[in-house]
Amino acid sequence: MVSDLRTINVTKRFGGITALNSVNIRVEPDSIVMLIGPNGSGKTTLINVIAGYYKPDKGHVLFNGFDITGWLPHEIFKTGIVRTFQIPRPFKKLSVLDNLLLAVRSNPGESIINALFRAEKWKEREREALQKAYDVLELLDLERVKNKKAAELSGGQLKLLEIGRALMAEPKLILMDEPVAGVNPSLAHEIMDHIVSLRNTLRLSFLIVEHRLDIVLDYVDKVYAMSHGKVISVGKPSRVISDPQVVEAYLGG
Amino acid sequence: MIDILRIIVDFTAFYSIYLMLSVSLNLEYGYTGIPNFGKVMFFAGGAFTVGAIAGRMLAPLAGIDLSKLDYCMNNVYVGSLVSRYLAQHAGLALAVFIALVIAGSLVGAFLGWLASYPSIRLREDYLGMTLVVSGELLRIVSLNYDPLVCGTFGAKTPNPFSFLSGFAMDFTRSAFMFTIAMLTWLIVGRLVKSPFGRLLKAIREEEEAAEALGKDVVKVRMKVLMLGSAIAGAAGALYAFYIGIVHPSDYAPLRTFIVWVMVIIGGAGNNLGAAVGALIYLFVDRTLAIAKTYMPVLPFDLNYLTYVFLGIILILVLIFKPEGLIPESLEVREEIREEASQ
Ligand SMILES: Nc1ncnc2c1ncn2[C@@H]1O[C@H](COP(=O)(O)OP(=O)(O)OP(=O)(O)O)[C@@H](O)[C@H]1O
Ligand SMILES: [Mg+2]
Repeated sequence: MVSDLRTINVTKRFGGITALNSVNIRVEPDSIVMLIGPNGSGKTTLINVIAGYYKPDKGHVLFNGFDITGWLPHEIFKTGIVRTFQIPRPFKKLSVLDNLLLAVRSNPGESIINALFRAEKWKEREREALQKAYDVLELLDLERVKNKKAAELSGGQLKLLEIGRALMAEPKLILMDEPVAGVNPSLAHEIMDHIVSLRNTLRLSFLIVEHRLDIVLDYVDKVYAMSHGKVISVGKPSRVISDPQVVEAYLGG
Repeated sequence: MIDILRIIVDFTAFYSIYLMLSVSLNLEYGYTGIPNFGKVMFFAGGAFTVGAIAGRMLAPLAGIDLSKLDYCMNNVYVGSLVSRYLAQHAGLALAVFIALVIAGSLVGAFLGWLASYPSIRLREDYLGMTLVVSGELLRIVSLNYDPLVCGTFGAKTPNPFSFLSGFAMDFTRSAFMFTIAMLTWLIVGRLVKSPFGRLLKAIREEEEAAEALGKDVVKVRMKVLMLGSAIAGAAGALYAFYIGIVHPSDYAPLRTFIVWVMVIIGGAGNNLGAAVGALIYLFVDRTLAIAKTYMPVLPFDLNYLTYVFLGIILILVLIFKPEGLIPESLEVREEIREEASQ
């Protein structure tokens, strides 16, 4: 599965604030890229621009050579990019399992005609999806709550559910906004292990925004550091975190 | 005895109409979260279709030349001649009935499609207001534009069941109506239990997350509004045939709010709830209507008492069962149950 994401000179302003200032990043095929930076440095905004939630004022987003700038979120999903939300957005009144099943790509049962008259068509798909959902539940340690309403989950479990939905969606690239914030460290490491194995086996790519450097840094290939909407450093994890500019950005706020 | 049967038959006819309205609003609001405050517009769309077409279309068959006669001034007369003609042609009468109910639902769907345009751009609350206003617009235009349903005169609808008479006629008509309503209820019930229904709830719960998972929220909303409006249109057509006349002032916003009360009392997001809500409304409304005929003259119109009762029921439900008498249920997938039983 190829996946090559680039942003070219992406700029996004909110009134007087320049949340993104000519940002260039690249997530190469089969890579796990991390995006760090102090609060308010523009990380979530960048994800929102890539995933089609915001239109950039300037610049382009390219995915596998296609210019996807300004596409709608559901169109971007179809290219294989799936995002998670920093603040979880579960379908609250649906079961955990249904939250996962909803992420299934082009489910025939989601058309009115099929839903009414061609049950064989979607039941088969539903069974496959269910099988996959059980694997995801097991990985994320959510089996016990599978038939609970998502509204009844704990904060950490909701973060896990965000990841679970993305894994269900057969993505090529997952944009994760703080996936392990609030998740217990041992599970967080398991999730990171799984991410690496998905990269190795299914050749998925990841762009991970995370403040928990202690947990995530060891698993990633490349790090971008942002400050005030600009990329201030890029490279191997060890190089970026010892970059004086990065240290300065974190200390100076 | 026949009196009670008559009441039941009348009850069934009204229930069929309310059931369809309540099911359609529940699909839109209860499942999908679309605040359709314009339900009456789509209901009127179906009723006006019957009012505008039925008499005019059948008049030539009944030997009336509409170019020599002002239809609106004489529509009661024309309507009764047409009914008399239909009495001799049962097959044609039923075909016309079915065809116009379908036409009513198509007009409803078309209006739903039109109304879905603002829903692409407007936030939910503004959409609600827009729908109220468009419903009023349709009513006011039709009140003042005779070619539609003869404005303030109203348009008489021919009786497609005039080949029967007395109780047999009422019974057959109610049976037809109830069959259509039950079919609608069953179809919607099947739909909301499918992945499509799950998608609707997801859109209601968290629109942006649904988009992130590739769902075309705008398109789904459009489909739902069209389907819901088609159902309301069919209900309007049935209503027009049932009461025998289409009068624009009958299609005031109050009707919309009554349907909302049914859905909220019954339980939004539950298909059975919609059926129960409609039943409760009907019970209050019809009981009082019947009571009225037995009551001495009161200093006020007993019909208003319906609203008092409904208001009280609504408040009690909101206090004690805020999610309705039959709340939305958590869907547990079949296969899971199988697994549990193994
Ligand atoms: N929808 C919006 N409207 C106005 N300003 C916004 C909006 N979204 C983000 N911003 C502003 O853009 C800047 C970058 O915000 P962003 O959410 O991208 O930061 P972040 O790097 O994700 O921070 P954190 O680590 O706290 O999540 C902030 O100053 C924020 O106030
Ligand atoms: Mg953020």
